[in-house]
Order: sequence, then structure tokens, then C-alpha cells
Amino acid sequence: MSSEFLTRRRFLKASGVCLALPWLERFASAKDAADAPNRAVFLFVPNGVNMWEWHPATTGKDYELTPPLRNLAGLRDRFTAFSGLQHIKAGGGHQEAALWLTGNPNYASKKEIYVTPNTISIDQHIAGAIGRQTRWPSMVVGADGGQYTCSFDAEGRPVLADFDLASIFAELVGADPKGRLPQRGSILDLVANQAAGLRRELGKSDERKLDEYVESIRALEKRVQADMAWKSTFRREAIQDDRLNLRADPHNTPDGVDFVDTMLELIYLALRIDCTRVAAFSAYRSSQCCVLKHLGFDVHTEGHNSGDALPEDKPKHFANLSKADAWWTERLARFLDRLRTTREGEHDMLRHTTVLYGSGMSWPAYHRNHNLPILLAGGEGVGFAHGQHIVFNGQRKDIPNDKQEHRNATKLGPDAVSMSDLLRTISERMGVPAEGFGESRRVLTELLA
Amino acid sequence: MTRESRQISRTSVGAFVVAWSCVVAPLQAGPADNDAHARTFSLVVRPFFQKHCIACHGAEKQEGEVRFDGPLPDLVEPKLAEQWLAAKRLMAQGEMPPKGRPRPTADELTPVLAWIDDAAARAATITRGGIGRRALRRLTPREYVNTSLDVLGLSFPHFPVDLSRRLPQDSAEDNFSNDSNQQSTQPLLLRRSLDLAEQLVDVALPEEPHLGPIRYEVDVREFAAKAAAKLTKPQYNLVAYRDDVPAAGDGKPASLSLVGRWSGPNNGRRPLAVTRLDAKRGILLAPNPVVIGNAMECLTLKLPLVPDRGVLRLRVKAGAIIPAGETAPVLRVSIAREFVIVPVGELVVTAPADAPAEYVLETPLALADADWKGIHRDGHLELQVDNAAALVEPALRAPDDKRKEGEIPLPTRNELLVSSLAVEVVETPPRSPHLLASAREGESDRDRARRSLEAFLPQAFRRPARETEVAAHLGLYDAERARGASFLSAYKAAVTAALISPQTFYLIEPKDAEQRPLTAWELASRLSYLAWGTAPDEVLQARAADGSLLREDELRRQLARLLDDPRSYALCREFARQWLDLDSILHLDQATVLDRQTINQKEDIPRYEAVLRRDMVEEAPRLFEELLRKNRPVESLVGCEIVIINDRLARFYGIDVEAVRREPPGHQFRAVPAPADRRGGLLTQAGCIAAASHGRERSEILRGVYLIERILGIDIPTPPGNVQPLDVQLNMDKNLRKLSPREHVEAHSSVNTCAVCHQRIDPLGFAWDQYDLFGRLRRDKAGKLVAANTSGQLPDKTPFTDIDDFRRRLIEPPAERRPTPRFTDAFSRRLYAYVLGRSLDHGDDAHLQSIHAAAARAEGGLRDLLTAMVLSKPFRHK
Repeated sequence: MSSEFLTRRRFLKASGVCLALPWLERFASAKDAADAPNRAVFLFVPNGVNMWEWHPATTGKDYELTPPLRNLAGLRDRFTAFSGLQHIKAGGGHQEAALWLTGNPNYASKKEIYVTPNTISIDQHIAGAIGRQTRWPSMVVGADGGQYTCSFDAEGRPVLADFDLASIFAELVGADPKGRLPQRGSILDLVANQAAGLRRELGKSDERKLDEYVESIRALEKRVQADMAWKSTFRREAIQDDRLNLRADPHNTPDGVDFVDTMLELIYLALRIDCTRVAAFSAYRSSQCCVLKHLGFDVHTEGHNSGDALPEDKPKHFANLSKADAWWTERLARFLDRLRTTREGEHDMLRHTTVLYGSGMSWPAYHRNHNLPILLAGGEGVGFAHGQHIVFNGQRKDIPNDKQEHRNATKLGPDAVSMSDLLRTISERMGVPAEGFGESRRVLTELLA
Repeated sequence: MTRESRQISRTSVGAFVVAWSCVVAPLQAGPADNDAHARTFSLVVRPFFQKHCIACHGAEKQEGEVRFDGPLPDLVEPKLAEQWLAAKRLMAQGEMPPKGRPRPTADELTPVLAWIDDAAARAATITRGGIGRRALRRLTPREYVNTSLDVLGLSFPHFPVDLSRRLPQDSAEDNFSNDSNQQSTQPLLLRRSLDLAEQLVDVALPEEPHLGPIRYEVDVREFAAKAAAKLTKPQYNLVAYRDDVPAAGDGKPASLSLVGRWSGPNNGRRPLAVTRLDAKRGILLAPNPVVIGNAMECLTLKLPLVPDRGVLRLRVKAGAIIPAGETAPVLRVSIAREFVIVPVGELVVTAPADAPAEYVLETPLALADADWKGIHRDGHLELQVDNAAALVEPALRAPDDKRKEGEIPLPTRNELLVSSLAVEVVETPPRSPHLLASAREGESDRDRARRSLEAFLPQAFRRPARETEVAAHLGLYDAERARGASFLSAYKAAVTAALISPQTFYLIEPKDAEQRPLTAWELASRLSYLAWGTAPDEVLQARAADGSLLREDELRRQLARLLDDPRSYALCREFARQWLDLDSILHLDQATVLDRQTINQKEDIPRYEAVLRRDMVEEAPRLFEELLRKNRPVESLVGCEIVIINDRLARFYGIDVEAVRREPPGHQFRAVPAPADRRGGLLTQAGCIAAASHGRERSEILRGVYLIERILGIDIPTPPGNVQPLDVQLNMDKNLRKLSPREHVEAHSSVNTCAVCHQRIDPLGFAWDQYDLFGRLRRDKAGKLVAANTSGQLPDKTPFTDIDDFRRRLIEPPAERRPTPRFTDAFSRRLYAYVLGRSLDHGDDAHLQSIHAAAARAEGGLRDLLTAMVLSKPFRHK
């Protein structure tokens, strides 16, 4: 190990300590609204993209927007596009959603259901540190719900994703009669006591199962307390009825469109009223592109059919993939615009909201995961500077050639930059140290102002 | 490099899982027995390994990083267990010692293999902590909902909402959702369960009435007469006629509207009149084709107030006109607002239109998933009554049919006659007598609460409640009262707490120092959740209370009683649907009806599709139920002279049901003699073939995987992430297109890395070659059957020529040198895993042996097998 490497590590460690004090920094950068909280949003897009069109060809500030990114033209200065990001050890395959925010190369799954525990995902890592400040530690949502999620807890278990728009909204606006909360509190007290009594009667392996119950009860108690303490500062004008279709069914075209838009709006509302500061939306599984049925083709099949071939061999399939990509970036643009047009102090909400957008897959046919399509938007308040296309690991834009070189990952050197580095950077800018997170080696100072 | 090594390790894990066989292993584990086990190791096993194995797997060389020169191995260590079981399998198959090394004799080998089996079984028992033991099992979402409804005594048979869908589901594609090791409990689940428990308790114990009595009665015949007099010309407008309905007591009038078109000319899509007015009989509603949005043909009743709690009770005098070959109409009640209709009640009407009968439909308004906020804003509740029957078969255009839309008459449809309608909202639904003791004179509220809890808690906890538990819940009641809550509100808190208590949430079987038999109460719960998926009923509780359930004869009797009850369909449904992954077909993208074939009535198709798919999902559980009830041999699951179908499936299969018609026709499943192409039991059901085909035309390999995993019970490792489905490969590689499907698949299984598994998988899938992706016989465009080459082979190379031969091979006893498990073994392992609520391991082989023996001593039927499983030690022991 070279001494140069050591010094850089030491430097980063030192900077990590600094970053652990976001308040100081915020006060230092003076004119920011005194109490605008910092937030992080993770938007997972399944099944990769049309890689021939996604990545810009040129780098730096003046890069040319590619077709899928044109939807974001109005936000050009507010986001960064990346090339060359990937996990270092974790290979491609069916577990890409579970790896996206964890970078855990040892994770194994069968049919998208985990068989080995994962490691903690970055959203939960951040939520673990700052989640106590809000009513909800984090907001984990997705169309398929349950164990189909990108979020994993400290034990590596999937954090069940919520899918029920109406319930989320009801909890968000506090539709539950408030009078009920103290009663809920006493009910939870009672069953927590029962569980404690039960522990003594059970064997070791049962205790672990019961612990899940006890933890859940505790989380629920915390939530009840937070709900009780929560003064209804909710401003009704924040709700735009036409943006919410709470009955949208993700499995039913054309509601799928409404489902995604409504969910994004709910995320926006949750952030806006400071109900949570961390949100992860894993739209749906890569093998179940239900939300996109209205496009007239199955994105998953289309991805396979493209065969990761040369563009002229599969023009129709790649055109369809582009359609799906553009559909997603349009949703993203809408969401970012909502944040940007919401004033918060002297700035807008986007300035205090770091949004990571992308897929855990690049070429869809073979489920490859090198050169992931990733965008980072907002969060200037915590020090991100945008408007560029940044290239890591010497990645070049894929040019079709007969040797099919696009199918191979770039050779990674010992100082390769990984997806985990980006996740860590987000976490540390949020004030949550994440040294050694996943496969991370350093903080990506390239992104900072 | 990393990717390669990962694949290798996956393959070897998979190979290890495959290795299970049926050598009987003794299971007692006393200290003396442990000595014998160790002695056999040093006297027999170690010398054997020294002679045959150590040269390559010893101190000097460790081929494959495996060595066998250590001391007595403890197979609790999973890595060691894997090595030893792999060694056992390879030796049994004669692959080890490798070619060129001296072969051990059978006499040498047998005791060594038996010893490894014994060691593995011991380890499995230790790991589990007991022979019957499973980790603390939580109720599945469906069991939780059933339990809550049952202990509260609520029953809404016509309420079409599956409340369990409101809880996050356990994803268990390969295991059963009752497998305790796969379940996880998280805040979201508990939160939703608490929400639901609160709602259900609110329904069962309503607080003081919030609205006056609500009752409206209409004689629809009068309404029809008035409408017919007014409507002389054809109408197309949405609300064609409206009339006031006075309240039966005090209160503002409601209004009844007739929505739809009748006597109208062709509106471009639907050429004929559909709703008929009959002053003598009432209004005749044709099936409403609209799935989402405003109904086309319906009656709407607009109440001038918004009851959002209580139970809506609808009394309808209704009859049915059912043309030959059609199903009975379905009366559906929905809450409508703007373009959203939320169904809240459905019932099948079978009384003839000449003699309409009174039907009563009850639905809990608070549980309806309606937009209550918006409804309150509107200030009235709009109920919609329509006919929600799906067609038995949509009218299809033949390929050479040149007629245009409108020229082809609509198929005859059923009609729902509504001749009178009465709506009332009752506050208190029928509920369990244990839920709330009626007040006694001179008794304090607190004593009443105590008395009620003493009766209720045992229902929820499924065992007698301890005094401390009653006291704890009463403490909650006291605390609530002290906070100023009313009696009912405080008592409801105590009941809600009981519903999400760990005692209700889990099947609790406390530990003991020693392995122990279950108590009668624990056994009653296991039995009841197995057979009915809910808490024990009163009879079972009585047998648990007097302990008689612990006697074998009583256990048999109770099991028989539970299985004879129609509620045992819960067992058939949950087991068969999960085992065969049937729910997956509900979401397949492909349609059974091709768009170009439909005529006139495209809007009928979505509903027909949805209902047909539900029928497909139901067929396998219904067959299972029939075979279980009749105690037919296990083999009949894959070879049966009957099919259990309804009219819709009969049409789908092309079976003439007129010949075997039984009243009432249509939606009900019944036994019908199987035609030649449907004699394979589960194997020739559309549901299984569709689930195996994953909506792909070319699905030989997917079908092979389905057959090998689910029917033959051989676990296959996950393929690497970069594998393409067959039809995709075809699209990608022009050369492949020149090959026949069979050559293509064979090319695939000849690739080296894939061959290990695919040589076993691929030849299986051809058994279904004559069936298309939805399990219909494959036909060409002219409707002629396509010749299929259905020959293939089982993983042990037993050849078969077609599906009939395949299923015969499945059930023949395996030959000596062919270790491939056959269907009955695979099936009983699956069933036993479901029965025990945990995945099986090596320690269970011996129990399965004795279960098979016990079942064979009886008549060897499905019911005998299930009985033997329930009587087996692991089911009755902790």
C-alpha cells in the first residue's frame, strides 16, 4: 500500500469527521433557510436502459444531452450524469435491485427473493442516523411491495416496501383520528409486555422470531409518539388533488402511470411536511414491468429481445427501450420540477433534497451491471455541484463495433470508483459517516462544489 | 474469475440438495446410542475412508478442497454436512471412487452410507432443536384475517374484498407461506394488522348509532311500469329514468335511477337492447360489461345521507333467466362515486325468473375501500346494483368469418330479474356470543368487562386464558376508563390488544428442557390451521379442553370431521395454489382471447379473462379437494378419469357439458368424465400448464424446470443471470431459427456449463408439447391439431413417448439403479412440508418412510396419507 494512498485515506477520514457536523456547515453557508432539513431520495428504475442512447458522448460542463436526458433539459444545471459507475465485485444477474443501494458482492437471491442476508442499504444507513428527527425514519415504497425492495436493514433483511397509496396518504395527512393515538399507545404497551413475558417461555430460535415482533412493536410505538407530538402544520394547499390518484392499481393499465406519479407526489408531500427525510422508491421488479404496460410492449421482454446487440440489428427493440427510458426521465423531471418550484426559505426544496436516480442494470438482455445509468440531482445545500457529465474508471461511450466490446466491462484498476463510493458520498454529505460502506474506497470529491 | 467461482459453488450447492434418498435411519438419541454412533465411525467408517478416499482427500492431497481424514464429524456444521452428503451421493451413484480406483463392494458400502444418513439426520434434529420443531410460526396474512373474523364472530360471505390483501404478503415462491423460517415480521405488517384489527373491532362493536334508522323499500315492478310508460322512444342517455323512493320511516326520500340503454338501435358496438322493462316482473338486467368506470346497465339507488359505518343489508327479490349453456347471473352491489365503482357485495342468483326468491346480502360499510371523504363531500351515498356475470364464452369470429360488427347477433346472455329492493343499514352485525357479555343488573362496567374478557381471550389465544392475562387486559380497560373513555371504547381497546397480541399473532409452543409432545391446545391449533386455516372451532376446543384430542382415535376423528367440512377447502386452496404457483397466471400478459377474434363486445373480454383465470387457478384445488374427500390414491393427482370443472372451463377445453349438465349450471365446479386429452389430473390442467409456461409460446425449458422442481421435487440451482429465454435466443440468432424446437433445445443442453442441469430439465418439457401456453391443444390457423413430438425422458433417462406415458412413468416404482424420486415421493415431501409448516431436512426422511408405510396399511389414499402425516411424531411433537 503506497504512502500516497494512506495520506488520502487519512485526509478523507478527517473530512468525514467534518462532514459529520452538517449543522455547522449549514450555518456556515449562512443564508440557507435556517431550518431546511437535508433529505435524500432514491429512485430505482428496473431493467436497465437502452445503453446506446443513455450516456452522453462528451464530458464536462458542455456535454450534449442524450435523447432520454432531454426531458431534463430545463434542469440541466441541477443534475449530474455519470458514466463508468458500477459495483466492483458484485456481478450482473437477477439481484440487481438488492445490490443497488448495498453494493454487497456476497448477496445471493433466488427468483428475486433473498437466500442470504444482505447488508444494510444506504437509505437505511442514513435513516438510522437521522430518522429519529422525523415522524417516519424512512419511507420505503414500491409497486410490488413487500420483500421486493432496494432497502435492507442492519441485519440485511429486506425492509418491506409499502404499496398502498391510500394508506400512505392517510398516514401522511393524519387522517387517523388523533384521539385514537393514546389508545394505540396503551395497546402497544400491553402487547410489548406480553412479548417480554413470552420471551422467557421460548427457546433460542423462537426468541429471534419474537425479537422481530418486539422490534416492530417498538417501531410502531415510536411512530405513535411521533404522530402524537406532530403538530398538524400541514398546509392543505400543498396537496394538489389532480396529482393524486390514490386508487391507482400498478397492475392495471393505464393506472400504472398514475401509480408512479401519485407515489412520487406522496414522496414529495412527505418531504415537504418533514414527515421523513429519506425515501426509497423501487418502482417494481425487473421481471414484472407491470407499470409500463400502456407503452404497448413488455419492457422486460423487449430488454431480452434486444440481445444487447448492435443498434442496427435490433432497431425496433432499442427504440422501444428508449421510449421506456424517456417515460421514466419524464417522471423524474416532473418530480424534480415539483421540488424546484417549491420555495423553501430563500431557495427551493431541490437544493436540500439529494435525488439519486438510476438502475442497477445497464444492458438489459444479459442483465449486465457495468457502466450503470445513474443520475444525481439536487442537494446543492449539502455541497453538490451539478451540470456536468462525469466519467469514472476510464469508461468511454460505447461505440458499436463488430467485436461487441460494449458487452465487456472496463478493466478496473486498484483505484477504481464504485457505485458504493457515490452512495457513501451522499451519506457523508448528509452528515452520516459511511466509511467503508459496501465496496467504497473514497468520497467522490469530484461532485462537490 | 469471481463470477466463475460463484457459478461453480452454486452448482455444487444445487447438486447437494438433489441428494436425498430413502435409507431408513434410526432416530433415538440417547447417550448409549451416541456411543454406538461414534463406535461405528471408528470401526467401520473411518477404515473405509482410509482405504478408499484418503489418498486424494487426505492430509497430502485435498482434491476439490475436500478431506475426509478428520475425527468424528459433527454434521451440524453445514459445510461438513454438505461434503459428507455429496460424498454419499457420489458413492451411491458409483461416481466415487473415480474410474481406475478399486470399487468398494456393496457390503462394504452399505453400512457407510447408512452411517452418513444417520449422522445427517441427527444433525438435522439438533439444528432444529427437536423432531417436530419449527421456529415460532406467525399466522399468514390470510390466516390472520380469518382468525380475526372468526373470533369476533363476523361473517360476510358476500363481501368480495379479500382483506388479507391489505397486509404485506410473505413472498414465498419456492416455500409455503406458512414456512416459519421464511416469514419475517416487520413494522409495516404490524401496523397494517393493527389498522385492520381496529377496523374489525369497530364493525363488531359499534358505538352509539350516528344516524337514525335507515330503510328504503322499492317495488321495482311499479318503477318499471312507470318507466315503461314514460320511455316510449329509444334512449341512449345515461340516466334514463329516475323516481323518488320514500323512506320507510322518517327521513328524506332516496332516488332510484335506471341507467343504460334499451330498445335502442345499434350504437355501433352493442347491437341489441340489453336492459328490459317488464311491468309484471320488474327489471331484467343483462351482464354489465364494464370493468372500470360507469356501468352501462344498472340500477342506482341514491341515499340522501352517508352511512359510513354499520352493516348495509340489501334484500332483493330476484330471479334468473339462464339460456342453455350460460352461467347464472351475479347480483353485484357497489358504491359508486364519479367514475369509480367499488364492489361491496356479490351473490349468485339461481331462482327462476317465474318464481323469484328473496336474497339477503350483507356488507360492512366501514371495510369498503371507498372514497369516503369524497362521498361525505357529495352528501349522499350512491349504491349501484348490476349483473356482474361473465360470459361462459365470448362470441369469437372464426378466421374466415367476413361479417362485420353489428351483423353478428350477440350471444344469448343470462338476465337478472330484480323485482323488489329493500335497503337498510343496521348498526350491529351478528357477532360472536363470546365477544361481549350482556349487561347484568347491578353489575359494574368493570365486572362486565372482566366477564367478557374471560370469555373472549381464550377464543383469540386459542387456549384457556391465564388470570394474569385477563388482569393485564383489564388493566388496559381501566387505564382507558381513567383517561375518560366510554365503557365500549375502553373495552374495544382491550379486544384490539388481544387481536395483535403475540399470543394471537403466533402459534406459540413454549420450549421445554426435553423434547415433548404438544399439549392438547397446541395440537388443536396446529390441526385447525392446517385444515381450515383459522382458529379451532368449539368442538375442537372441547376436545382440547378435556385432553381427548391427545388420543390417537380422537385425533383421527377430529381430522376426519375437519376434512369433511367444506371449510377444508382452505387447505386444498393454499397448498395447491402455492405448490403449483398458480397465482402467477393471474398476471400473465398474454390473453386467452385474441383481439382479432372478438366481435361486437370487446368490452366483455377483460371480465371474461379475469374470471376464466380465476377458474383456472381454482381447478387444481378443486381436484385436490375431490380426491382428498374420496380418499383416492395419490397417483390420481397425475392420472384421473375425471376432471373437476365448471361450464366456462368446459367450453375452454372443448368438453360438451350439455351431456353432463347438472343444476344449477355454470359457475359451480363438478366432476365430469375426462376426455382423452385431459386424463392427466393436474398435469393436463390449463392452470398448471399456464403457470409452467410463463406466458411464452416457446417454453420447453421453463416447463421442464416447473416439472422437475414442482412435480419431481428436484431442486435446481438458479441459472446464471445472463441466460436468455428460448424465444429471445431465436430472435437473436438467425441460425437457431433454422432448427426445429427440439433441435434448438438440444443445442442448448449440449453447452457444457449448462448441460449439468439442462440434460435433466430440457427433455421433460416436451411432455406438454401438444398444449399451448394456456394449456389448450395446439391448433394451426385452420383449427386443425398440430402434430407434436412429445417424447422425452425423465432425469434418470427413463424415456417417455407422450403425456400419458409420462404420467405413467411418474408413478411407477423407481428401478433399483435409478435414484430419481417419483411423483409420490416428491408430492408427499411437499405436502409434509406444508403440514409441518417448515421445510423438510434430512431428519425427516425416516418419518416420511413410516408415514408411507402407515398410509399403505390403510387404503393408500390421499386422505390416508394426510392422516398418517397428522399422526406422525413431528406433527404431534414440539
